[in-house]
Amino acid sequence: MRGIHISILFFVFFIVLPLFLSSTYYLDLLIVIFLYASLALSWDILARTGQISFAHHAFFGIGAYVSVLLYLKGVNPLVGMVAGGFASAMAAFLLGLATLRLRGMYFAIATLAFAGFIHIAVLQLSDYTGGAGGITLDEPLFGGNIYAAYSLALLICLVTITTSLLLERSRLYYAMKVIANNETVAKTIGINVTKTILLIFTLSSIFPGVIGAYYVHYIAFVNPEIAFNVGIALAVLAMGVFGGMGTTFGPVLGAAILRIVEEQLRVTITYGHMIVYGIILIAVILLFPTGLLGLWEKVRRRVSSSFEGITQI
Amino acid sequence: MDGFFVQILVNGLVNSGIYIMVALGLALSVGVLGILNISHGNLLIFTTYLTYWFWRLWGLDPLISLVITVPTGFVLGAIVYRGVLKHVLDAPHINQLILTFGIAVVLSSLMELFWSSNVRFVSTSYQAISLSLGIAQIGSLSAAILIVAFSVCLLLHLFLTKTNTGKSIRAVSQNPKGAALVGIDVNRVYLVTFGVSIALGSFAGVFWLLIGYITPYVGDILTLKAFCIIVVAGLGNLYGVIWASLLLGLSESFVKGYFGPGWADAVFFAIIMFSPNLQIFQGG
Repeated sequence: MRGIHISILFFVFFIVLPLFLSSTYYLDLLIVIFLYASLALSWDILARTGQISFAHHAFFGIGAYVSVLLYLKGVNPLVGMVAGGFASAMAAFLLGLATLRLRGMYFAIATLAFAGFIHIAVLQLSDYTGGAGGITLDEPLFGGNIYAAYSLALLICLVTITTSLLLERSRLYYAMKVIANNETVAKTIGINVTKTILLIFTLSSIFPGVIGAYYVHYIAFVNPEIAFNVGIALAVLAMGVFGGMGTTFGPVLGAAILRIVEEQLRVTITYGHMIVYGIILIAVILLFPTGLLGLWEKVRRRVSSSFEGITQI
Repeated sequence: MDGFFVQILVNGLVNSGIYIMVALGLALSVGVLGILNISHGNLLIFTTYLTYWFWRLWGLDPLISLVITVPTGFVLGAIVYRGVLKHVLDAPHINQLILTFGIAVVLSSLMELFWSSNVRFVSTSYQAISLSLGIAQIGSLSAAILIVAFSVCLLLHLFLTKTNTGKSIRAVSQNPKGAALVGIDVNRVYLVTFGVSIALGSFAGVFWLLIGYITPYVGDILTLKAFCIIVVAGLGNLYGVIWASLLLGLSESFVKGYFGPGWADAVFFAIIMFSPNLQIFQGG
């Protein structure tokens, strides 16, 4: 239960933090970090079954557009967020049904194709979606109250973390681990592989949907470039890999570090700051494939084993 | 048959010709190395930028600079294999996917940094020449693409079936351990295969530049289309690539002709999603 205590500590810390921040710039940065942490973590939940999705930005976009279209019909943004999450989970369920038997790179290709298809469909159905020009909302989230927006982003992030922690303590977690390591073994010991993957895929896609809906209300604007930005898929991948895949705090840590780095780079180099994500992906996979948390674990183990050596002498 | 229909058919065939050259390389590297190279398109567009700058700075004709670009493609592929991919041959598929995705991002960012995201195109004397086929027109370049694509297929076929290197590539793709046992240097074969895969793509890149334009992001689209083709063809099936390319090229052309250009880009996604081959593969 150590994880729960840490979560509560985090929650209290971040709830009081805005009182000590002088500028809304930092609040905005924190909001984006929360959103990315949640995105990266929800992506990682699926990756724990060994399935890599390149469609996280598509679910983000689906949530964004569903909530905006509902908002234009007069629906409250908060209800829109729930609807966005639901719509994106439904889309994931259907995509999951269509790709039930796909694993590894074929699943990855199928998700990438799905993301591209949705993007083009939204561009083409401009009568409903506003096409490439997008839709401007008349009012940002909570009438522009950044503290309220901050709290909601924090809440979304914490719900994601809690979901991940609960999953780690459930029987499902072991099923996912076995599927990732050896599917034949998983089948042999009676795990329903396709059902598990479908369930996790649907569950993990709720979050990008909600976050997409949140984000477009936060910036009060949506267009296909924002909603279906491949950069999101790239960023969550890099964050998960960098922090440490298959853990709860790895992707969150990765999101926090990489967002801050990107924010700094955006100021210094305008173009091509995405290169950092690429270099990180290559370097991490080649040098420490288990990510920062894995590296930390290795260092800790080495230190403790050298201590054991000393006590034995 | 009316002229419009024939024209669409011809355009589709020309696109297929380019797709064949892009996808053959990808099919080769997937089939032999077992690594799905997400940076395939980015690598080949990188060499196409060289062609562009040779033309821009020294007025070197793009077709003549093929003599430089194609070997450069080979070397670039060999460097990427030697520097990066060699170290993840035994790693989980997820790691390989993420790694090549990283290479793709680095390459397109580098191109953006070096050469900005402006649209680049070349103009040569022969681009405007077109031949009449009675009811339809075919550009001289388009005709050349069809011939080149056909020759590339033939040469690759001869390379793989007649030369020792080609035979060892096939042996390794069937069974790397067995190939190593009979004395084939598997590592060298991997290096050559990856080099050839990018070199083949460099051909396609130059023609892509001649009939259209390039930006740092064109590579991503080419990779996706090549994915679509190899999925339809079946993993590492080189002969299937030809039919799959024709399927993609022609259906894109028909969608463009009858439904408008916007939906044409969705064709390859639809083909991937509904490809029966995609469903056959289990485990990756």
